[in-house]
Amino acid sequence: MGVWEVAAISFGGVFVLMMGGMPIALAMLLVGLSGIWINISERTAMGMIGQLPINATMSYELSVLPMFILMGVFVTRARMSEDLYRLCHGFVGHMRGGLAAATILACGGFSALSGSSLATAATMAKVAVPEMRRYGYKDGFAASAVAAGGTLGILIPPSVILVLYGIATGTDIGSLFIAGVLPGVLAIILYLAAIRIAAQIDPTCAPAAPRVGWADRIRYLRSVGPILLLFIGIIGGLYKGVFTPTEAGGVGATGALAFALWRRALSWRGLIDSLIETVMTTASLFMVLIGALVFSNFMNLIGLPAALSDLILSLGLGPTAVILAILLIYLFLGMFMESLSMILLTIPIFFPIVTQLGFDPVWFGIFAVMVTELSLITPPVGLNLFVIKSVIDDLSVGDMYRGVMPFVLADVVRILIIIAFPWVVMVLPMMAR
Amino acid sequence: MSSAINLFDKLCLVLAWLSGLIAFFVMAVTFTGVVMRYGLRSPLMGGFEMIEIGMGLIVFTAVPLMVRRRGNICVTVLIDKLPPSVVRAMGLLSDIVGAGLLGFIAWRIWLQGARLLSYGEVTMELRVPKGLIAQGMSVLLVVAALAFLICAIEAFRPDRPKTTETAGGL
Repeated sequence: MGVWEVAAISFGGVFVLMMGGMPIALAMLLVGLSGIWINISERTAMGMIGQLPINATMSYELSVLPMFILMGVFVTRARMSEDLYRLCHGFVGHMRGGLAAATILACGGFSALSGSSLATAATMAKVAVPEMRRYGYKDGFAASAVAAGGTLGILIPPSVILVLYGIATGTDIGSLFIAGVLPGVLAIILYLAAIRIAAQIDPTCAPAAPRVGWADRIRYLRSVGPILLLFIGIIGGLYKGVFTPTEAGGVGATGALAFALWRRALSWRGLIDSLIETVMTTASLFMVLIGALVFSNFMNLIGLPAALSDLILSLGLGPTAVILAILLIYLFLGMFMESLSMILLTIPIFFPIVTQLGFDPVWFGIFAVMVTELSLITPPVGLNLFVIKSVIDDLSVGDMYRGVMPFVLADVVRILIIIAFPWVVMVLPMMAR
Repeated sequence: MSSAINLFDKLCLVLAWLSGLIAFFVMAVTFTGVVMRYGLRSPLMGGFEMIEIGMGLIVFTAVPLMVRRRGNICVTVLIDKLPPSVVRAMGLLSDIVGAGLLGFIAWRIWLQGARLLSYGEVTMELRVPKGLIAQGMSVLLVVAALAFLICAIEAFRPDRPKTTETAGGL
C-alpha cells in the first residue's frame, strides 16, 4: 500500500472509533501503534512506546499545563466570574447591547486567567445569561454572546491549546502566549462591533440596562483589581523575559491561591477538590497528547508530510491558497470534532507544509486556534453552544443558531484580517524577542 | 466483587490525592525557584528536576481515578443518535482496548526502566535513578489498566456509571 492509502485508512479508523465513542486518546494510540507495528516494524513500535510516555510526561515545559489549569480552578472557586461581570456591567451595561458587551469583556477577563474555552463559556453562562434575560435580551442572542466570549479562553493567554501546539511543534510557548494578546483584543473589538450592529438592526434583541454609579464601579474594580494585576504581572513577566511560561504558571497559580484565600473562598475541602480537579484534567490531556504523539510519529514514519508537500508543489498552489484550503478543512472537521483532537490530529500534517511555504510557526499556531474557535460556535455542532445549553436548560437551539451569526461573521472577518495582515499576530512576539 | 471494586476505587482516590499533593508541590517549587532567583540571587538547587519528576508522577498517579470517573476526553456528538446497544458495545470495546493498551505500555516501560537501571542512569542534580522512576510509572499504568478492566466489568452491571461528557474538554 502507498502512503495515501495507509493515511486514509488510518485517519478513517481514528475517525470511526472516535465517533463511536472511544476515548480520543485510545483511538489514536490504537491506530498509531498498530500502524507502526504493521507498516514499519514491530521493533520500532515496541521501542517507541517504552520511551514516549516517559519523555512526554517528564517534561519541565509541560508543567505549565497543570499550573495554569490550577490557576483557573482557584480563580473560578474564588467566584471571580461574578465580580468580573459586575464590573463590566457597571461600565458598559447602560449602552444598547451593553450587557452582551459586558459579557464579552468579562469573558475576555476570565480567559486571561483560564486556558479553557468550555470552562470560560460554562462559568460565564451561569452569571451572564440570567442577567441578560432579566433585562429582556432575546435568549438566542444572550447565549450566543457567552458562547462567542467563551472562545476567547483558548486565544487569550494562558491557553491550553497553545501549550499543546507549542509542544507538538517545538514552537516557543512564551512567544505563542504573547502572540495571542493582540488577536484576542481584536476579537473583543470585533465582537463588540457585531453586538452594536445587531442591536442597531433589531433593538429588541439587546435593550439597555440602567446606568451604574461611579461609587459602585470603583467598588467592583477594587474587588477584581488584584487578579487583574496578577494577569498583567504574568504576561508582562513573559514579555520582558522575567520568567519562563512554566514559572509564569507557578507564580499565577500561587497568586490565584492567595487571592482565593484572601477572599475566604477556599476551604480545606475546596483546596483538595481543586487539586483533584486539576490533576484529573491534566491526566486526560496528557493521555490525548501521548495518543497524538504516537499517531503523528506514525504519519511521519510513513512519509505523509513529504507526500503532501510534493502534492502541493505539483498542483502549483500558492501559500494563501493553501492556508484557505486548510481553513476550509478545519471548518469541515469542526462540524464533527472538538478543538483539542482537531488541532493535535491535523498539526503534524499541516505544520511541515505551512512552515515550508514560509509561514511563521507562531502565526500558524494563532491561526489554527482562531479557526478552532470559529468551529466552537459554528452550527451544527458548535460545542460552546451546547455547553451553554447544558448549563441553561430552556434555551432553544434554533434561537441560538440565529443569535450566533453576528459572532460567526466577526470571527470570519478576524481570520481574514490575520491572513491579510500577519503582523497583527507577529508584532508583539517580535518586539519581545 | 462489589467490595473489591470499592477497595480499588479507594486506592484510585488515594493515588489522585497524592497526585494533587505533587501538583501543589510543583507549584510551590516553581514559585520558590522564582523568588530565590530574584530575591536571593541563587537558583533553587534541583528545582528543574523536581518539577520534571513531579510532572511524570502527577500524570500517572491521576490516570487510574480519571479512568474510573470516565474522564477520558471523548467525542459525544453522535453518541445520542446511535442505538443504545451499539453505544454499549463500543463502551465495552473501549474499556477492553484501554486495558490492553495500558497493560502493554506498562510492560514496555517496565523493560525500559530495567534497561535504565542496568546502565545506572541517574538524574543530573538529585541523582535519582531514572529506571526507578520509569518502573514506578509502569506500576501506576498497571493500576490504570485494571481501572479500565473494572469499567468493562461494570458495563455488564445495570447500575453502571455514566460517561462525563465535558471532562477535560477545552
